[in-house]
Amino acid sequence: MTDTRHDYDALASLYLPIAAAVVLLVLLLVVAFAWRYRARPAHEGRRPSRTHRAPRTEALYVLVLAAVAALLLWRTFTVEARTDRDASGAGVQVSVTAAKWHWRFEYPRAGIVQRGTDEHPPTLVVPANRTVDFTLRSLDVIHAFWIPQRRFKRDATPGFTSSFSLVFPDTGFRRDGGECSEFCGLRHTWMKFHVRVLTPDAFARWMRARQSGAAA
Amino acid sequence: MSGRPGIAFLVWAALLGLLAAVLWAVFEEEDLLSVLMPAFAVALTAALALGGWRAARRAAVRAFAPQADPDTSWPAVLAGISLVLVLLGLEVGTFLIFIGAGLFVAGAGGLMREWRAERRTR
Amino acid sequence: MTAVDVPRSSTIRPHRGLVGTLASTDHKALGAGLFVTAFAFFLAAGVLALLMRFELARPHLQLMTLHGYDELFTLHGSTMFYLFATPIAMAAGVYLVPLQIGAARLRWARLGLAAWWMVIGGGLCMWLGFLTEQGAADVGWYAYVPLSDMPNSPSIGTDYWIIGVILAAGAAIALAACVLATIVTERAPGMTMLRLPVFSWTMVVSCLMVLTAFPALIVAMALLLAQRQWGGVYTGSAGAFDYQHLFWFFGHPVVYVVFFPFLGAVAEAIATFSGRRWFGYKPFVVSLLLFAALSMSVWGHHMFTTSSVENRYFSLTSTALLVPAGIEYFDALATMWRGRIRLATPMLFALGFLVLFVIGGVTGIFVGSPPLDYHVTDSYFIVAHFHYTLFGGSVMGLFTAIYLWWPKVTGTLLSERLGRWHFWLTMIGMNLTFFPMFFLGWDGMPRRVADYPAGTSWSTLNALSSAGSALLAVSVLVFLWNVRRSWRRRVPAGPDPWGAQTLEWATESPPPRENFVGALPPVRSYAPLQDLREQRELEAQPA
Repeated sequence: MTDTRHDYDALASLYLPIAAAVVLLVLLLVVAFAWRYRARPAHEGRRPSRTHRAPRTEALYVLVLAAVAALLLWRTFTVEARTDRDASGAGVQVSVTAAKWHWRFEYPRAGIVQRGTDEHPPTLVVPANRTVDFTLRSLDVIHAFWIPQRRFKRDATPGFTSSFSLVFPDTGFRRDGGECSEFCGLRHTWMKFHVRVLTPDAFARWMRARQSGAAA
Repeated sequence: MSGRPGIAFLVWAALLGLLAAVLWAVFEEEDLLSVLMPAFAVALTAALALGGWRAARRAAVRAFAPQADPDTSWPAVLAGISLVLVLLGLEVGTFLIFIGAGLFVAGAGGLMREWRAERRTR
Repeated sequence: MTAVDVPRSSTIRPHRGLVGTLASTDHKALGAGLFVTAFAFFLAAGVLALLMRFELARPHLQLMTLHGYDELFTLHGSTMFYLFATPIAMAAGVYLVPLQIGAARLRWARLGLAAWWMVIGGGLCMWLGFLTEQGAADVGWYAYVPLSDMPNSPSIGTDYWIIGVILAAGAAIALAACVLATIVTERAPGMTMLRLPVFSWTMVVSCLMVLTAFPALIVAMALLLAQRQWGGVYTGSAGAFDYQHLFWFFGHPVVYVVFFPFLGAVAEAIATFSGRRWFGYKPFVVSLLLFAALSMSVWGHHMFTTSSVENRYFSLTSTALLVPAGIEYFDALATMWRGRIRLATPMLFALGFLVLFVIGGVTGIFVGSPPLDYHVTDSYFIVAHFHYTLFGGSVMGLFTAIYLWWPKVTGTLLSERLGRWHFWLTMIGMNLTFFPMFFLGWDGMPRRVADYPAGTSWSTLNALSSAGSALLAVSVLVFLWNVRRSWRRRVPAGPDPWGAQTLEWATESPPPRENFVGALPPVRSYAPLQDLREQRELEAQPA
């Protein structure tokens, strides 16, 4: 069961400190050198250094850089293997269809369809802490399914069905919790959906209600 | 003018080739474009290396003499503008393609004249 | 139109006037013409950006329609890449490479001249769309199919745009060929490849990337034109992915094409204003070749979310970029170390480049990790990332180049005081504009949206960003004021006002038609004037 947000946060907590440290180091060195080695009239006679190569130092430095790259790649590959694992097939199944400029969610096993209109985007309803297997397709242009809270997006390319699994740990309702993130034309700005995460019991009740004809 | 620019190009072609080989052999990418485009890049760079080698050798042999380039070249300007018109004609209308093509021929003719004049003074 | 017979030892500077400049085969006139053209497009694209930032300063639509906004971001990105950044990178090479290598001319100058007119024509074609009924292209600067196909985007503005792109790309290839040919055949005696100045080496790799990557763009665009006309070219999902492969095979290298020459300018500036030659020349050259080769091999990282590329390969090549980038930073800092640093305006911009580009660089490594990219791609985070590399890198490097070489090109000096104002306004404005975007994207704001929900932190962050963009506009005005003032005052610069190191500083400012009169200084390294300076210092020391 992959919690994409948890994986993202773990990986980001490796990348970001390194990134911040590098930026601060560069800033510090630039400012320090510009200050320390600034041309001063009193030191007119001082010659700047003529050293212009340090092959052993640079070689060592390259090894350090390569080691950092290797570390980042190892952690990335580990996380990606989990995120990109094919859908298990056992969980709740949701079939997502994107078309200009709406989303449609179908629960094939239960025969439920969640549609959107211009005024009311559809709501993706999912159970908490259960694997949800998605298939994603587009009917016209390339769209992208993005749930920022889950730190996950995938493109919906017409003629190609992609599949992925997500887990939603926290119950609640997120207005506009999902967005289209691939520019798809005029109303791309407003192509969103809501996300409602229910406890497994509430989810089961919701499914039964929808199957017997209640409103979305 | 000694020195071999071809080596730099060959090194680059080798790096490109190595990176492409990793994509094909290790990661087993079979998408046609992912094979064709890097292969084109490697081939073109290798060709530049070969061409560059010969050109550099020929340039070293030629005396370092001032070139009698004309200071202006309106035929070159015409050639550039006419290409714009030809492509624009694809949308605006066939008449513009013909106008552009005609102007291009005129420009090319002017360029020919300039080249021949230069060859005579060399 | 008769040939001008230039005697070998004369300093005749033919008075061309504007008309003569438009058709001149002198690489200096061509370089200057390309520069002015590209800079004009920079200002135009900047105005589009200001309009977008004005719209986004507050939630809800104030200034324009959704469709208008789509045209703005399409033309902003396209103008910046095709009509500003690439031509200006080539302009720098066209003007400076012959001078740096001790040559009298640019090879195939007439090809370059024709190319300049293709840039002008291509730019006009692209912008012509604004005059049509359905407006300019509105499909995003990468124009993915099927969105850019006829049923989804029937406007003729998109067709004009495609033609403009093809012309601009063809022009870039022609110019790159000229510069590369010049380096191959016109180097002065003694200038081996491993004595090429640092800037000229950055032009070598830029031109190589143009020649090997830009053809893919022309193919992508020509096929798109055919698809719109007749259909049947890009079909199904395979067609959609093929387009992305073709486009990004060009689309990634282009950002390095517009980066390397300005990295070269920064390197020349840092060396000059530290009083030391550039540190670690050979590792730097190797790292340039590696950097460029990697940049040709990362294109799939723009497609991580498509499920159609080998994510791990492209993550590998993308992350590996930190190695050559790290070498370049090492060499830059090592050049400053134990130097005698003068903070003239070119040096200020060069140091600003170092600090800003690294932010773009590390966030680039961040998105080189697919699981991280899955969240932030196509959001404002990525907009921030690439503006730190493109503005914080290329534009800061461009201003470094302008302030550094202005005396050589014009024979006059720019005001240092106004230059400092320009620099600080840029540093503050740039960070204020783009740093908030990291937070916007992280929090879920997608890119290419004209509006966003009210009542969240997004309003404040967007307002800050828009305020920053106004500051940037002021900074550019300060620069233009500096140019105007310097043009009128004409403070003579002399051949070498900075105490610089490479051959272009061994001739008059501006250089005569044939660039050099009389004998060149001996070329024994990549910094011939620095060699002479150090030799003189040694000889002046008491025995």
